[in-house]
Amino acid sequence: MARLLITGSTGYIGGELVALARAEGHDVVELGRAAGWRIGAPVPAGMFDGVDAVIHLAHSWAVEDGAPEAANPNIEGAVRLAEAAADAGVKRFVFASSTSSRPNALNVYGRTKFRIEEHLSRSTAAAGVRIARIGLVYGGPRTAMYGLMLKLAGLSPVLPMIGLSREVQPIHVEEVGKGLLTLALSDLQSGDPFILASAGKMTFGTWLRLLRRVQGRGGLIFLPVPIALALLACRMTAFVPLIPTVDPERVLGLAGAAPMESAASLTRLGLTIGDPETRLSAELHRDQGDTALAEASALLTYLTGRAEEASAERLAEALRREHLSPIGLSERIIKSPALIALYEPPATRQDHRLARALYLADLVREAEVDRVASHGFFYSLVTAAVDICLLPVRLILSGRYR
Amino acid sequence: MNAFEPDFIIIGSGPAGVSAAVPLVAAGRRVLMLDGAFGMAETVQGARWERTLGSHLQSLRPDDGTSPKLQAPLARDLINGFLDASAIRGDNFVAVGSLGRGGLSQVWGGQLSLLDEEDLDGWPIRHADLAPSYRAVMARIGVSTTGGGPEAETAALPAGAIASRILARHRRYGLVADFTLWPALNAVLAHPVDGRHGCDLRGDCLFGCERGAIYSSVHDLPLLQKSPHFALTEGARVTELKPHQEFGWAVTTADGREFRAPRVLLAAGVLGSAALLSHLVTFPAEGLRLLNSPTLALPLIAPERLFRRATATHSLAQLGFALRYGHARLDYLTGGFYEVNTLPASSFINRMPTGRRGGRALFDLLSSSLAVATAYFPGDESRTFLHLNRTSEGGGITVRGGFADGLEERAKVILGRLAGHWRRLGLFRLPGAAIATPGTDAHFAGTFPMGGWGNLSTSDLGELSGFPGLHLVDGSILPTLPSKYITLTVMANADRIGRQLSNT
Ligand SMILES: Cc1cc2nc3c(=O)[nH]c(=O)nc-3n(C[C@H](O)[C@H](O)[C@H](O)COP(=O)(O)OP(=O)(O)OC[C@H]3O[C@@H](n4cnc5c(N)ncnc54)[C@H](O)[C@@H]3O)c2cc1C
Repeated sequence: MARLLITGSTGYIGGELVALARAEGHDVVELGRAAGWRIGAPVPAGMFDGVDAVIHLAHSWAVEDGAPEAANPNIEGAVRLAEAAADAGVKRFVFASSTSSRPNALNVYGRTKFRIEEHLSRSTAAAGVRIARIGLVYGGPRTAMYGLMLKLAGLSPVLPMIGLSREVQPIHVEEVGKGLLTLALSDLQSGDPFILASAGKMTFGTWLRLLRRVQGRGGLIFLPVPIALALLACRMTAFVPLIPTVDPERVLGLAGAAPMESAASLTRLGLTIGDPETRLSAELHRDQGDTALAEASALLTYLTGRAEEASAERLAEALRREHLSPIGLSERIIKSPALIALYEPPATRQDHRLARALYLADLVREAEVDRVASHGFFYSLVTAAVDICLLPVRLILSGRYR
Repeated sequence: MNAFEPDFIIIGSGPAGVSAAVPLVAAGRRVLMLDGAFGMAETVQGARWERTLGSHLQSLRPDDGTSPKLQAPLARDLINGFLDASAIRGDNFVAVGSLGRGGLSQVWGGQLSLLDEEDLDGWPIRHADLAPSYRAVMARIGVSTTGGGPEAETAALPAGAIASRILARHRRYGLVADFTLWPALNAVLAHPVDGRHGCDLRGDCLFGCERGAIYSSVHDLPLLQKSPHFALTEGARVTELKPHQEFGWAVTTADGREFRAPRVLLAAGVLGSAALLSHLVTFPAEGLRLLNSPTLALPLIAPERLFRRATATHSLAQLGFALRYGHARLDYLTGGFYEVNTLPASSFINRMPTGRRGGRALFDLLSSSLAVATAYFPGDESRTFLHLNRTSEGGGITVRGGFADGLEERAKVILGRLAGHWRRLGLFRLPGAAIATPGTDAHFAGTFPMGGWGNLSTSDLGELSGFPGLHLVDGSILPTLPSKYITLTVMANADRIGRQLSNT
């Protein structure tokens, strides 16, 4: 078993990679803030002892657009790290680059990655260096860019977006991990960069639709936004209080990049890339077959706007036990639980299946916190008023789930 | 256990059993306490969902219409455990008994009343006989009032906003002939004592008090266990009591153990004790009369508190009240006044003709102004009888609940008068007042009355006629059931009997 030194091990890809490496029995040394290291800093003594390969994932985002190369710690840092490793006798150095890496990339990120690749291939460590250009990574923990996209796609059926026709090559984070490990551990010929991305391509718009579909939501209508306007909007966010600031880098990253041929690399690495839709549906809906759970989540979401997993499971168990499951909620209601408002009978009708199920959901929600916080006067007033206005509709529709 | 030869076996670790044990142990008599279950039914120290739904989700069930309290996990376990084991079933009666350390005091409301000389009419004892025991028990369990007056001697906890206004107004308006209102006297600590904490007014009391502020007879067990004269055996569910020529009494448990002592004190709760004695005595043909307090709840709204912020207070009774409705000594209602915002909303929403979300929103808008008055009738307004089932029907006992003739009609009139008094104090009646199914009250008495005539009566020491050495010390022996909260009297009476027996 090998000993690996990994930088950026706490990031989105890093976390998965470390877990994968450890699961395969490798020894992992994490080089990062916890070890007193930042990109560009010298590596603490002894860190390279017994290390077979370095996988360099860390990237510092604190770089100004248009800053001189010398002021970019990512470039200098990568080279120093690679050379120090080679000097200490480490055989291989895997650098995580990106499919957006090119000299004229729209964003600093792509240009920086490209420059690092160049410098590494000219460094004293060049012989052991392997470059991995990674595509659009998805799956696993819902963080980073993947988490953001998933959330955006799930949010509303109408989405203002840029770069919709750009082609992307999605690859699962676990597949990335496998590829990186193979690069670090096997005696492949180095030289040309390895492309870790799906061989098939799809447009960014198709990808977002897929991300919405796998979350069990309906179609997605895009409002294409000119890139200049998107950049302006990003810059504005810095001045508007209370909303998160969006880095224009991210927007440029979405807009730029042309696809790369990955088939050859994937064959050399012996890596097969799964179909993202199948993988994601399985991952996000491990229990899609379980109607009780889906219905429980819908009821909780209707009442509280969200459904914690543990709560939904409790409720599903109770629904089953009380022979309320399946309630028979339609696909549309499961997707948009707010619709329950139209079908729900008055709470006094505890002989009605839906009313009874909602009572159980209410008990579950009350059990979550010490005291269900009340929402303030106007929220309550409006909710109550809307509810009362819906009564006539309900009298007609509530028969459906009796 | 063989080494420990008890002078007394006490069956049950509820308020009655513990209260009889304390004076006996203090006098150096050896006491063996048997309890039917192992430990507490449910711990109250779990995660929030475990406390409110139960570790096996036993309280995540449809609303059965009884009080939210009886539907909480602790109560469900205690009561269901009892019903399963004792083969008692209710017919128009919610059979409330318990199997578990501390008995029903684990889930009780803690409201206290003292009987006065008038209430004791027809009892073979006088008020003076009970007075020292009342004092001793109250000192032991720790009591406080809610929203006391300037002259209060008892520790006081702050009352909720509705209650304090109502009480102030009642005091200002002066006396009325038939209605009285006072700060509730509760078995809840205002200040820490002996490892129990004072109440922190967080509300949420329904699911068991994590701080131990509300008294439960469980709190007395460690103190008793410090004495070499006391032993507690749990998991000893008694199935049979037999006179024994040599030892006095032999007690057999479900798991086949036998314990012996010259005297046995039965404190299994009114239903539990009756179930045990059903093997020993014959119930009358018309059934064994049980006194219980028909109870009703009256929802109220205080418009002056609408849309206001609720004040922190416990979920126990805020005020006590009494309404006289007839001329006989016991013809009065006793009740408790509760602030609704200290209770979980879900069961209230079931009473709203809105959707669930709208109901919650309305509750949020209104809860600071909502209150509930629960009232109890005296036991002579009940017509409840225990019947022995034939073996062909599977044995066991059926409790048939009922009310005195015309009670429901009279209750409507009385409710109207009660509502009138609340209106005078600024509270308006909401729809939904109803008499609960008999048994929900959990105020039970009178099955083996002290000083009664028949063969099913007991002496003033609770000794069952015809069975020397067998004493009942729980609610079974109260000859009458005034509408007042009864447990303090059950405890004081058990203490009195314990004191007297310690000299035998
Ligand atoms: C929801 C609720 C609220 C209440 N609120 C109030 C209130 O505010 N004020 C008030 O005064 N009263 C109240 N009560 C009533 C009060 O709880 C009872 O009066 C009191 O607990 C009776 O005490 P006990 O010891 O006689 O019986 P229990 O408390 O029932 O105890 C019986 C004991 O006997 C044991 N036992 C039973 N059968 C056997 C057997 N076969 N073998 C061995 N052990 C056995 C049980 O395990 C238990 O320990 C309330 C009751 C309930 C349910």
